[in-house]
Amino acid sequence: MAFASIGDIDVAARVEETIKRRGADKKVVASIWTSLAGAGGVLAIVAMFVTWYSDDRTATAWFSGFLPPIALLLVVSAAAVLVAKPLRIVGADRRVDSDLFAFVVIGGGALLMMLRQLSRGGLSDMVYLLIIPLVAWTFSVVRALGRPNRSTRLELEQVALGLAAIGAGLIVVKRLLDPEYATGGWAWGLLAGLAVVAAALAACQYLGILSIFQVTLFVALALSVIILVILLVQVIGDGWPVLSERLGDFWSGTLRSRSGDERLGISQGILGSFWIAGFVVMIAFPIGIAAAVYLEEYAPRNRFTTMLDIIVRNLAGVPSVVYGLLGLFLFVKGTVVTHWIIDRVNSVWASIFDEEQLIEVGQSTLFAGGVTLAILVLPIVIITAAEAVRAVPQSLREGAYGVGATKWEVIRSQVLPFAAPGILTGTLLALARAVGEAAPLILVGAITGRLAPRDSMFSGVDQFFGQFADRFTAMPIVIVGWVRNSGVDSGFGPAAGAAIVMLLVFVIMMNSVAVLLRNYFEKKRA
Amino acid sequence: MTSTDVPAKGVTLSIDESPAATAASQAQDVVFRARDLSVFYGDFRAVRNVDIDIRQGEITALIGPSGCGKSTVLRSFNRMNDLIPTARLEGLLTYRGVDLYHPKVDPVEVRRRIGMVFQKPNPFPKSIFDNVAYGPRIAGIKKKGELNEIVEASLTRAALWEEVKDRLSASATGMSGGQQQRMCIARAIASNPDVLLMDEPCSALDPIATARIEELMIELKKDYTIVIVTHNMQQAARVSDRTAFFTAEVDAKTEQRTGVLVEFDLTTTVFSTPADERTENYITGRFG
Amino acid sequence: MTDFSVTEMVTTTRTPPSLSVEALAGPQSRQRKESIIRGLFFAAALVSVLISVLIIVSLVREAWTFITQVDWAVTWGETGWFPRRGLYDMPTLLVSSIIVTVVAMLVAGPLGLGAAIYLSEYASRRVRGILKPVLEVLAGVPSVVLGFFALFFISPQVIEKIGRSAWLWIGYGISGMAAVGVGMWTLRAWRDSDTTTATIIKRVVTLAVLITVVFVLFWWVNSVAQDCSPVAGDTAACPVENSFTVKRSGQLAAAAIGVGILTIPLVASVAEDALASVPRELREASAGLGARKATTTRQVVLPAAVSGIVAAFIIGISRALGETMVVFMAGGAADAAEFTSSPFEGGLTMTAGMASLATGTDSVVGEGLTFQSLYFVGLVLFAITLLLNVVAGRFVARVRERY
Repeated sequence: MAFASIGDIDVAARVEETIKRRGADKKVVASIWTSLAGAGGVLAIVAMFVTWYSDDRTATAWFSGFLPPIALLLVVSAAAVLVAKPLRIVGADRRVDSDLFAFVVIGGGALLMMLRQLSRGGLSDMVYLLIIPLVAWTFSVVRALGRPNRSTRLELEQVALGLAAIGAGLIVVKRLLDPEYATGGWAWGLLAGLAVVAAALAACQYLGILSIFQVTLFVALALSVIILVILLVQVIGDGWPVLSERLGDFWSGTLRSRSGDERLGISQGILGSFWIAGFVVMIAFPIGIAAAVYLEEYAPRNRFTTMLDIIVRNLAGVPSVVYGLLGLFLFVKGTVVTHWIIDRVNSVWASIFDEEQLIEVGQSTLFAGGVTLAILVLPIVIITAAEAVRAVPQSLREGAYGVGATKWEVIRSQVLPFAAPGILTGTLLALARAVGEAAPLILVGAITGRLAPRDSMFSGVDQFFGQFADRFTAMPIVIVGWVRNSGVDSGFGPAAGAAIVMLLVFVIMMNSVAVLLRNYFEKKRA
Repeated sequence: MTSTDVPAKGVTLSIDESPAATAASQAQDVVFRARDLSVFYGDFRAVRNVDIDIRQGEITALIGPSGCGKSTVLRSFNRMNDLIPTARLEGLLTYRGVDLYHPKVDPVEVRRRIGMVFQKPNPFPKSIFDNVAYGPRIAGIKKKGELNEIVEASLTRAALWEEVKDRLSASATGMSGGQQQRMCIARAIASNPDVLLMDEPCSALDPIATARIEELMIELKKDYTIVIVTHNMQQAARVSDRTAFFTAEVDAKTEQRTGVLVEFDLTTTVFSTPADERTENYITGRFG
Repeated sequence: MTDFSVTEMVTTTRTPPSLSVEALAGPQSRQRKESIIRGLFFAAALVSVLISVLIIVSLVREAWTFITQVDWAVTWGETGWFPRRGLYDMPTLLVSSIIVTVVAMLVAGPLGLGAAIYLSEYASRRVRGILKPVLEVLAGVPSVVLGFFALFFISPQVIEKIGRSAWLWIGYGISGMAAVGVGMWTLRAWRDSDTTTATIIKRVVTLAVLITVVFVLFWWVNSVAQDCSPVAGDTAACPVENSFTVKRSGQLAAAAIGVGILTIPLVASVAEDALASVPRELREASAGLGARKATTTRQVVLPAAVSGIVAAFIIGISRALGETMVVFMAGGAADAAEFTSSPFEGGLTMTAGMASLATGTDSVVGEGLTFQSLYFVGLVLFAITLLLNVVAGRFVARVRERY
């Protein structure tokens, strides 16, 4: 910034100095408050979880004793900083005062609400964790929305201080009103929430997240991540007993009617899922990639092609149960046409192998499950492959055409190799999806209860091929069955958790490989 | 013997069969002949009523400001416009006496005889060897020995052999722009074409690389007929034997720009004594 | 290009052969090969048409049997969905589906949209590089996992711990915020000086819709507050706090939250695509005029991307409607359900209803039209999701054509 000198005063230097000082001010205040709020927050979170999840009276009582002193400490420090701060701010920044006023108003309102509930007695913990910050937030957002380009810059110290002061004050008030009162769950929740919010806000300022709007968005994102973490922790935790004790047996076991049976395991599920993946690879990938090549390379730009595109997109959005209905209709119940086709196939098979029929229609078979899932996954393969082919630069095609290549030669030697990584990514994602789907398989009649184990599929040709005509199960189905049975026999719960962990490992691995591949090739190409 | 013209699409032509014209076309074979050629993209007429003869063993330059249909005309010579779904042709375009757009003609065959080098070098993401060998491979040559010879000969012809002979299996995309473009020329040559079409081959290159390619063009003239589109007048003046000047006419009603061939003559004539005022304005830099 | 000698190519000037059309026609075999290959690819593309047709045929065929044979009295106003006993009360399934979808979108909408905006507008490249893959991992989690999570965690630890009355407070709070939002929208629209008839009509209509939505929200929360027992209206059996029966098998609310979590990544990714398609120049112009980041985002980027964001919501709704396993596992009902409008009871959505028909016994058995009822519900579901997807597609197209 270039300012002229006014007389003897070097304005530029002055401004720089002020900015630095204000920045330093903010940093100093923020760091004091961050430490205070952070400490209080950590303590409060621990206390909250302890009381919520443990029934240990002594622990609760112990923390109960701690609370009033902490509250007092927070109130005193809050007051101190509040008083000290206005003196250090250069110039009349009326925004500061109005925010403070706003939070006093909010606090007053919250206070009234709290007192009213107090008189009723007995509250649920977590709600009040949410109410005050929520109200404060709403208020700030409402004010900001009213005027465009208005800064919603958090005066974080004010927010944090106001909230914590209110909370601590409430507890103190309650204690004063009712000396017998042992601070109960609600107070925990309240103070914990306030301290957490205060710490988070101060931390946000440190991280450079400086407006309420931005904080809201970040919270949305953070919640999604946190939910995923909680999910993983809970699933692994639930399945840990089984995983840690019996991993090998679990891997090779089969479906049993009692969860205590040590032969309980997921081998049939793995086998079923493996074959379903096989069907998907053999059926959906070739057809899907070919269809994508047609749509992008061969199809003329007319209404029919647009219609094809719309059909594929709508197929991708059809709920998976409906595909189950289709499979049920075509293969399990069977139609005239399918019966006819399968009879032909079986007669060819019989003439070659002189053995039992390959596929059956009219009952639930592995074949039905596999083909149904291949159909479900087909639109996804088409869409991702088409995207990959579309991304091939036209200059590559022109170069090949220019040397006299035919259309197929251009596709084979230039387009497909270039699009291969993208196609591969798409197919991996589709495979992961297929392995995780349960609804269509339920409709097609996958077994959830007890499934008689077969002889090993390697023990003979007809054993190998016969399994396609048999009842089957798959990993997600095994999980569903065990979860449903866990109401009756609670041991199935951990078993289901363990199975989920194995399924998740596979699915997440496939997804990660696909994403990594895509990123790697994108970087290489750039 | 006059060159056999196959009138197509019900267009009646008057063929100049005077002794002078006959002698002229006998002296040097006419490779491309366009009569009353117009190219449309849907309803939009990109270029109209082009009459031009490209002669064998010459470098013919198509010059003019941007948007005059020079590239369109060039790409119609090897049926590259087929790649654009809405493109269509009216008028006559023959290659060595054969109507290029006859329904029986296979564009793939056409492109094996008429090679193209593009504005921005477009090496395939393969090795240098595989790039240059691509054309012969799809023509059916499989033997390693033959391919090696062809690749070496083409790269030599394109003045690139010495620089890359030790790294033929390296990726073609790792070379500099000028090298890539020379490789693209080698790739085009490897198919043993009759004609080389070049669409602004030097516009993406620096002056030194440009100079090398211009030298190359003059060398290649001995064996190939070359048609080049260029924005660079001086380049046309340096390398070409004949020059065609295009300009754009703006339709007052639709504001569409349609290209039109203004003048086509020996380069020396066009640049020293242009017949049309528009040509002179362009040459002297008064517009465009 | 047939035989030629390399040396010839290099040293001599060839005399060009005289040509005929046939010479330029190319070998027949090549044409044929190309046609065959093209035909194969075309056939592959037609498979998708075949599948669409088959889906519609299968649904309509069986549903038609149902439609023509069912006593329509049992499809409306009955006590519940008891397909094996011949009671096919559609509102049971429909209302449960709506409840699950609404609650799921209350979770997925803000979280997904917020995450998308943050990732797109605010996140640094490093943060983006870490968090975007996390969202993609969440997208890949199979629905059975969410069902497990909903049943064993969300139901006991979240729904039941927090308690019914607390949730009702939250419900009132959300309705209240919605009302405030509508009020603010009205104020803003009032102050806006654009007063052409068309605009006024549009505003009145929008206001009517918004007020209806808020009213329905309040009414629903209220009705849930009154309805404490499986049979609606029996308030005598309703204690004040934590009053819903702890069903080991879950309840709709838990399942709905699970569905919401499942839908977050989908909403986020479509919304992010919409935001990314807003050209950089718009943001730069706004910043160049001195607007703050939040203002640019709210006033310029979001309005520009609104079609895509609406599409994201519609796609999310479609997905939530079509989700089966979470409700099947954690929704709190076996293969039949009584009518309820409370998310704290167990229930069956259309999808879970279909799935539950197919389990329990070895195949779909029951008296009369049980099997066909499966397809009837399937047809209804298919029609609704198809409609939603088509509408969403229109919005996506609108984004594409703008930029």
